[in-house]
Amino acid sequence: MTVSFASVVSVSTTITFTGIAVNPVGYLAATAESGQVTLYWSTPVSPQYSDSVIALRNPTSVPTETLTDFTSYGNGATVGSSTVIKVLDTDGASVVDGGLTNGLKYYYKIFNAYKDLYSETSNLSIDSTPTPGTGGTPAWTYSLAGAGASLGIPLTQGSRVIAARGNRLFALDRATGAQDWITSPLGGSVEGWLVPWPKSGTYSDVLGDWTAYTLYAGATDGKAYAFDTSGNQVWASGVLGDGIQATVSPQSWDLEFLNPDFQLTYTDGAGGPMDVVFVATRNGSTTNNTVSALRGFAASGGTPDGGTSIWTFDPQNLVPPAPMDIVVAAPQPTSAPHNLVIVGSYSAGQTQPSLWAINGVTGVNGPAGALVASKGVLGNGPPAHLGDITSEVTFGYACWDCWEVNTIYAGTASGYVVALNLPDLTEKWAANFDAGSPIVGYIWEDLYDPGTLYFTTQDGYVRAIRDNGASATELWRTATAIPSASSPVVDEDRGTLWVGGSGGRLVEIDTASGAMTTAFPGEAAETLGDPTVDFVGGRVYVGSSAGRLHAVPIPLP
Amino acid sequence: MRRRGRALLAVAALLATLMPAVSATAGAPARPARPAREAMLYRLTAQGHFASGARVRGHRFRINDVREIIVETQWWYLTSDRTERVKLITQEGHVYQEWENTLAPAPGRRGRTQAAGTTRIPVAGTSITRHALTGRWRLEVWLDGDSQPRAVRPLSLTR
Repeated sequence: MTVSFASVVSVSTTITFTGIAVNPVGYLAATAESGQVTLYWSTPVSPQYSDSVIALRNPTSVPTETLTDFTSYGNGATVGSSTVIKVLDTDGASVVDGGLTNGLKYYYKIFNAYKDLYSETSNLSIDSTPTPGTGGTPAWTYSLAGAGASLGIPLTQGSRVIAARGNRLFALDRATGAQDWITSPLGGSVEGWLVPWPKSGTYSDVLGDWTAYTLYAGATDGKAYAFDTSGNQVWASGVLGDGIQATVSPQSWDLEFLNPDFQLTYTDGAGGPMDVVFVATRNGSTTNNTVSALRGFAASGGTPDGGTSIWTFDPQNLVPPAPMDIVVAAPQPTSAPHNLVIVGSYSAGQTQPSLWAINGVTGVNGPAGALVASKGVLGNGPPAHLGDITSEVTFGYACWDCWEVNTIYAGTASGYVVALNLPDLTEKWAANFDAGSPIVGYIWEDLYDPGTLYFTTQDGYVRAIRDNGASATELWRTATAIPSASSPVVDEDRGTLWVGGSGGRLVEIDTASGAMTTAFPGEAAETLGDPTVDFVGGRVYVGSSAGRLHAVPIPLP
Repeated sequence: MRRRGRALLAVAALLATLMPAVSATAGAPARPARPAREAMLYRLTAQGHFASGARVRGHRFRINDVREIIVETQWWYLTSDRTERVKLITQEGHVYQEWENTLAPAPGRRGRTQAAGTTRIPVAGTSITRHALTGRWRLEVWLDGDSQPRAVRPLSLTR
């Protein structure tokens, strides 16, 4: 049939779409500030049917309304009791919802849209509460829908604060909480901290240069991951175990070890600098856990063979075998002259060693000769056995302005702090200061006053103690009355520490006297985790059981 | 739409009239065809795994004793690979963590397919013990993109 268009005035037709799947957005995140909420999302990659995104906002509850196919919704329209926020794809993947009331919780549900067809969004809703940043309220709060709790310490680097939620990592602007990037989902959740580390061969240039870092993380899929500072995955290791729960520990070729033997060992093959990443496993078994050294960043060519194993320390191969239980604390490399990797593990019900000193240099030749010392039983009285190492292993420095480590501190499930000498793990002292509750998180050594330690126990007490060499004395203890108190973060310049906890509480404690101030930046049904302090910006960043990340101005009112 | 519905009703009525006659001719009692079976969560169990290696089934666990909680599911009547999502929800109603398992159906007894999922929930050394996150939690088991969980079970975590 031939049609002459000269005589046609207008043509109207109906197009029927078949086989089109309008998938939901990939994630939904929100940053609340004073008077506004910014929403972030990713449109589907495959198939790419998306020409706009519609968010429904409701001031009282999660929107239950759905959008009707072949119906157009304009920005500001009302659907049931919700308001439409429409974003065309040319406007990017974020939108600011302004003019909101501080202290009022807003609920959002998001739909991907294509030609007035709408996705189902059964699991992508979020709530967000603008706050003024005064009176102990957050300056901003970042939320990621459905990501799960994240109580580990967020980290700051350059102008960013970076953290993990579930199986994604993200970077935010420290001042505003604006999302800089978020990764695609990893194969598992990140339980430990995300660690930014300066790339070898670049340290002299690295101060303030965010791009000179690599980010490392371990995940519950048993792999270690490396990312650049734009959130792009650089490498993933093979599966090293059932899971990696402990924070992974990178070590710079030219920053930390300062040891010719180490530097000769860890090269890119051509003698150039190469970083190394120490990783420990959390297996289902209590006996077959391992510690591996992986190739990190190589200055010569980026990351050749990044993530491949250099050596694996498997104490079952020792003669006699010494089985290793799960490791939940980061393997800690020490600087010269010892160049050890210190690992605290569980103890299989006090039947196995739980503290290990591995030679970080000879370890490259396999487990034989790599074990410097292991520790299970103490000789100076109770506790007779170290038991499970539940805290991170902390280094005690010989002086405040040097790199020399002469002591390690570990917290146990029975509430003991144990101090041991390096490199042989001989005992200095063990004491529990009436703490019958497990020590949580980590023991913090005062930067300017080595030997002064701060720690929290699971029953909510915060203590300051003093290492006197052969014994320790308690300086003060403060009952926070928080049943789920976090580890402390200390700002030695301010003489202040902070602890998060249940009921949305953040506690500020004077490190000289133990005097306490409490604020409630979180909700009553929210437990705040390990904080980190922004020395420059005057804020504490703290994650929560509700999957939020709060930026709280300090000092608390 | 209304006309088509009437036509379908008419066909159904005709079949209902004919079927007993056909069955009677064959000499066997009428046996209506079974509807297609839907994916069914047949079993959901939680076991505490202790340092001794012992596993104890239950719904109440002490966080300082149990190393991990092993959640096992058994599904019937799956016709293709599906994804189960296991969510651990805190007492306050927040998702603590979510796990995904691929369910691969295999032939089972009496013509039904079977598939099993195992989720290991670490407890020792996690935020649960580090922050003493106790209370009346719950487990939810979801299938693919369902809008509702297929099962909800209480799970108490105590000190």
